[in-house]
Amino acid sequence: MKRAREVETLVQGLRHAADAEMHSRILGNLLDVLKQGRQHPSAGIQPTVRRIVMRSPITKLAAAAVLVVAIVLSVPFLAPSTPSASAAQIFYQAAQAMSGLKSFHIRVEMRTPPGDNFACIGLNYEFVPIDFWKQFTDDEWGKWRLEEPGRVVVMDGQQSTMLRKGSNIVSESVDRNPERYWTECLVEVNKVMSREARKAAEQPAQFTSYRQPGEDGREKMVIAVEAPSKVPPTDYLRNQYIEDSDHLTVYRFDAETKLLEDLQIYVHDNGKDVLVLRLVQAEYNIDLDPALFQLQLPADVIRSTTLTILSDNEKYEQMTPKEAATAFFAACAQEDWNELLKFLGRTAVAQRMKDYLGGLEVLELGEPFQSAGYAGWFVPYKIKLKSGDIKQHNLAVRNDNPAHRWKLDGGI
Amino acid sequence: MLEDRYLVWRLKRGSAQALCRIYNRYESDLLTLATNLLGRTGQAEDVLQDVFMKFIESIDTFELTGSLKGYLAKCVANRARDYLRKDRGRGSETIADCRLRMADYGIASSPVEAVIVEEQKQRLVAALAGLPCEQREAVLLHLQGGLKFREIANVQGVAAKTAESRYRYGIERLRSMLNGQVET
Repeated sequence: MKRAREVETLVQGLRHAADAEMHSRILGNLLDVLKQGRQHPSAGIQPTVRRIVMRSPITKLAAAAVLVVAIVLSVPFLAPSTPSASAAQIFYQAAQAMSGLKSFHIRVEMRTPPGDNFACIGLNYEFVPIDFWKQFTDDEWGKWRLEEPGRVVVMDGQQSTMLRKGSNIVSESVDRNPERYWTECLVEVNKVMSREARKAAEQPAQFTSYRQPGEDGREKMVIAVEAPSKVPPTDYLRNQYIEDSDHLTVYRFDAETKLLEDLQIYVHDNGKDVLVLRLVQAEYNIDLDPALFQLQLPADVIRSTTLTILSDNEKYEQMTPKEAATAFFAACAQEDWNELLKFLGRTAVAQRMKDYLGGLEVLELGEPFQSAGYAGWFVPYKIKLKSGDIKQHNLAVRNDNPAHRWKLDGGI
Repeated sequence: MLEDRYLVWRLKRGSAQALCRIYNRYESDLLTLATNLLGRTGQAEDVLQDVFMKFIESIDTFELTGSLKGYLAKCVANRARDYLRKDRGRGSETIADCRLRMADYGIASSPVEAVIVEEQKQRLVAALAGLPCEQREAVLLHLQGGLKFREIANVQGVAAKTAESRYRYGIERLRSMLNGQVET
């Protein structure tokens, strides 16, 4: 016996798909109509009006005068930068409003691996929550905490500390203005607004803005920003980072408070728009627990370090990316953890890494390649792990460090 | 949806890209709705094209007040009614005659399951065809068009309570037919 709810589900699932031929035919017809409409705007009305107006020479003169006055009056409104000029203004006001905050908590959801670098995206990944807490202080930097299920970063006012929760790996930095991925920038949301305001003034064609009534009865200001990918369509990193995708960012602000209320980012991929980031909560000027800005580290942490120059550094400096990958996997296969450390820039090799990579067998190593969006190299590999699992991926290595040695930068 | 407003804004300025995005986003849902309302694929395609043509033609004066999908779904329902009115008395094919593709309904793990799924689907199609027109419309607009009852009431020119009753009666009748209690 089917219940009403089951019947509703069945009806919802009764789908009919358009075939490719029909899709192209209808869309082609629609695009033709749109094109014709733009070539002959409001064709049914304009000629009639023109005929009436131009019937007498006096009317013609009067019409010409009206036209001149109308053009003069409308220049400030018709200038191509009008929508973006207002976008720039909105962003500027938002930046000001957010600079005056005491604190905020913003939660977004992003299609990303739960323990990754707060920036990597995948169009098919599940949404993962990312929280930003910020306490503004007398100095410019304030205190903040950025957290996702597998990783947390805390700035206590003096230094930032990042902890990978599963492996106890810690990275510390006193650089208060590091180069950041887009998502991380949200900890300084006021600066994001200032940056967007500048872009809106410089590249007006990418910005559109409009007002709309909100569900709470208050007026909202919406700005949509189109941004092209920084890498070409065939690039390996295409659509793996927001910056490396053609994407649309939609901001919504409260018209009165100027505070950010909504944020969505869509990646354009093969004619589809995939939502990759959405704001789910924004709280301003709330009391934040001071404990949020203190990170309790486990006793057995492994710290990230800068690669230092070794006595046999030259040997590693002269390696090609492929040779570096070969040496890296050889160290794993032989469980030679001291050798492996030379490629890691850490105080020790994490037990989790030892368990995972120890005793592996290299099945295939491909030719290294580069991406326009990355300073290092990718080396394709196929390995058989001790567990029997086969893993195929691209090892990311880079040598732009003081020791000029190849360092593992991802892909495991 | 924020992006719909933005796309409409761009379409008003003649953006072909915006039109493609809107069409790609709602084509499948609207075609499904039209096919289920009409029961024939050919006419459903015509309805889909008519609705988008009208949408483009009126874009200069169009103001989006609710959801774009909801607006387009209402247009599909109105246009489908026009087609049904024209067809009245012509003895045209019924919704039950319409054969649907397995791929549209779900993935069967075995040939036996595939047959069962297809049979279920045909029973549902036949049951939908057996509903009075207003009930079918209410059920499909709510479940496939995502319309609220007051929006359906607006399409049907009745009170919201009536639209809701039509929906409830429709679901109850479908349930009875699928459980074999009423002959279709």
